[in-house]
Amino acid sequence: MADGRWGCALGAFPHLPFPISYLLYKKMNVGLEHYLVVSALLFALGLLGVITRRNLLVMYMSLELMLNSANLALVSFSRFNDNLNGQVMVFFIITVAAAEVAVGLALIVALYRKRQSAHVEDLTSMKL
Amino acid sequence: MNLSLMSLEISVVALGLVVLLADLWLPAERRRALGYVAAAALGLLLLQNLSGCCSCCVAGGDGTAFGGMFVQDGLSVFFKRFFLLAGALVLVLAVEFSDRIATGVSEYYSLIIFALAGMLFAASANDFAMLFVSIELITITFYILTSFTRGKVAALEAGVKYLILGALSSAFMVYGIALVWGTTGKFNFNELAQVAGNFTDNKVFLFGVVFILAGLGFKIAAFPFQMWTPDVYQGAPTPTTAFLAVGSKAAGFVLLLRFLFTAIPSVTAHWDKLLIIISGITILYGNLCAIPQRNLKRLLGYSSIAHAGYLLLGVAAMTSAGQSAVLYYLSGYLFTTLAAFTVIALVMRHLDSEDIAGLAGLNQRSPLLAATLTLAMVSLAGIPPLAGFFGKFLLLKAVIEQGAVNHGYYCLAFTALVGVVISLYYYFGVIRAIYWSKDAASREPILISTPMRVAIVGCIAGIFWLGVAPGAVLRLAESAVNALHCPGLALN
Amino acid sequence: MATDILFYVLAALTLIFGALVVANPFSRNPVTSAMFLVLTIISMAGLFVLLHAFFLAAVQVLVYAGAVMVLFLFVIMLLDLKEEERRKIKLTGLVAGVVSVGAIVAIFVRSLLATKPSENLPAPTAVGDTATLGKMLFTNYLLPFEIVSILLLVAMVGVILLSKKDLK
Repeated sequence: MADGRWGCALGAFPHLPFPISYLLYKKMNVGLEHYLVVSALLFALGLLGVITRRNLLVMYMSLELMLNSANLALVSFSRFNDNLNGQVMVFFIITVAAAEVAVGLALIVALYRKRQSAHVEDLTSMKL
Repeated sequence: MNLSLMSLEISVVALGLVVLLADLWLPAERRRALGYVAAAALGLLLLQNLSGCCSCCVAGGDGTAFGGMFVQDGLSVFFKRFFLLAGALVLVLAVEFSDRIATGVSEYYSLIIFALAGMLFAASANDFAMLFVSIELITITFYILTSFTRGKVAALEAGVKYLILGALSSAFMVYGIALVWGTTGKFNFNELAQVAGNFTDNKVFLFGVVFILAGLGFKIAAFPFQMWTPDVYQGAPTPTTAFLAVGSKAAGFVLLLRFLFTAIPSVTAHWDKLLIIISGITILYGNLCAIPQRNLKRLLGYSSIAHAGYLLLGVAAMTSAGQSAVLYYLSGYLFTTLAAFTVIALVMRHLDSEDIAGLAGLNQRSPLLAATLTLAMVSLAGIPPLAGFFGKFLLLKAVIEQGAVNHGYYCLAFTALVGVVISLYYYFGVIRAIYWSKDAASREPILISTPMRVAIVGCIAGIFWLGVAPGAVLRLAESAVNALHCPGLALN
Repeated sequence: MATDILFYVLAALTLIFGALVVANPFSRNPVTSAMFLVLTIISMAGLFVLLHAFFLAAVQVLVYAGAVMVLFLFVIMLLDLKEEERRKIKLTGLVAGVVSVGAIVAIFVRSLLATKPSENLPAPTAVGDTATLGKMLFTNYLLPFEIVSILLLVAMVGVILLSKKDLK
């Protein structure tokens, strides 16, 4: 089923690179998938940040990015399923995230006062 | 709408608020005893729940509130009693520990009670909104409890590690909830169960399920999500570690059971291989990494990973026998783990680190504590006739019964046995340090307060009771698990 | 059609700003990351408006950009973080991260695109305005709402305990 559509997308605009041809095939008609792809990319960006960055604050900001991508997914599902429950869930997620940020930043500040560092690699007091 | 179903949760939250407020009027030297008051109050609630609410065990006393979000059935009643008992024992332990907390003793108590309230809500959660909110209440409270002794760098580091990995797991879980809800349009577990069968081929839905499982796997410290466990167990104050090991893990398991077997049973049925692999790796990882440990709390951290693996045996078996074995094993684990951490808190009171060498001469210093820790280790290792043995026996029995369906189960049972054999080595290392070490640092006897003594004797009694006379709890567990399989009794 | 173009603009902005939060080629100062996170959040609020979630768009700007990010900035300034010295990023970690995240995204986006494309969208019957969401919050979702209030209390107590100066 998917192959047919991919084929169509490629056939309609043979001279263009694949992602662009696919978008044009969709005639820029923005649907649920478009929003979900944005949200998935945002989630991946956040995950990448958590994995690669070593500054605790930047890692924490990347985590916020991941939570926000979930919010975007929920809101777009809510619009395209015509169902508001997802938006209520987003409300809870935002509230919980705010509480989590407050506690997390307090922790990071307390740690910084002791250690003078906000780096993950300096968290070494407990090793095997 | 049936508010009376929630009287227990409301009382616990009110208790937390009272403890928080009592701090204002109590003189500083009497705040310490507030923990005993709170523990006694939890004990009363437990007694009241045991006596008045026995009808809850049969289907007639069940019910749902808030449009099916909050469900009161056998499973939730079982876990609520479990959490209340754990909370009361942890509070007694916290009083013993309170001289090491510089400021905010009563806040420490009240935060424990609020975490307990989160666990009670988790036991009744039947909806993704409730699941998310209650799990976050538990997790965020534990961030604070972990770093409560903020004068110690280790506690702060443990808190930050728990924070980053915990926030990562909640991000995964939230995204998973978004995908599952987006594809099915259902938050409620019972409603989801009715439609989940149509989505077994939908990759987006399956992604969502995997992400939610990742979030729950973090709570129970199952294999790919176990990195935080040793550091947090080591760095956190001992009562926090004890509550994390017992309460937080059990809350993860009740949510996991409900999610797998109430919400998406048709999907779970295809995932036996995944569960078998995760369970096996978790057992081996926990046991192998525990071998070289010298810090007692860190050792128990790795052993707690191994026990998460054993508990997953019962989940992987996917039968009601397996699920009731999980409940039974958790009950034994409660007494055993709390006993072990209580002894650690008492013995290591004046030491900076919880090195195993600190146990030297414990036999002379306090025979009761030496016997308690020995019993706890023997039970964790799974030697008859204690609680741990019977729990492991039930879990293995459930797995082997399934072996006819899928031969992977035989491999899993074998892996679990290998894990038990490995674990004997390090558990007996602890016992050797108690009785057969030469150089004791101090010989002064250890004073144990009366409430503490009651709690310790209670734990020992529990360990023996569950090992020798398993009938009563096993029947409770079996009837509790029935709620998973015939859900929605009170729905409309 | 105008909304479609708006979507592409806002989506591109969200992703570009998001990428700059995580990896900024010009500056590794956490303040820059924080400011780009604010911009990401504001463009996301624009996407929310396109999705008829007006209340959440406002909350997103007020709570996230207004409160949470101000908290972040306060903490960064409080800690007086110097321009982060360029630590050697472990290449293996970076490669492993990019590969694993890339694999997840590839599988995920493929499975997304393989789902049925949506048809022309009818106008929504339910609009996410304040009154509707408020009604839902205080009826169907009252219990999680109350639990969140306990959570906020816990967070408040915890933050004070963790960050106040020692009394003794």
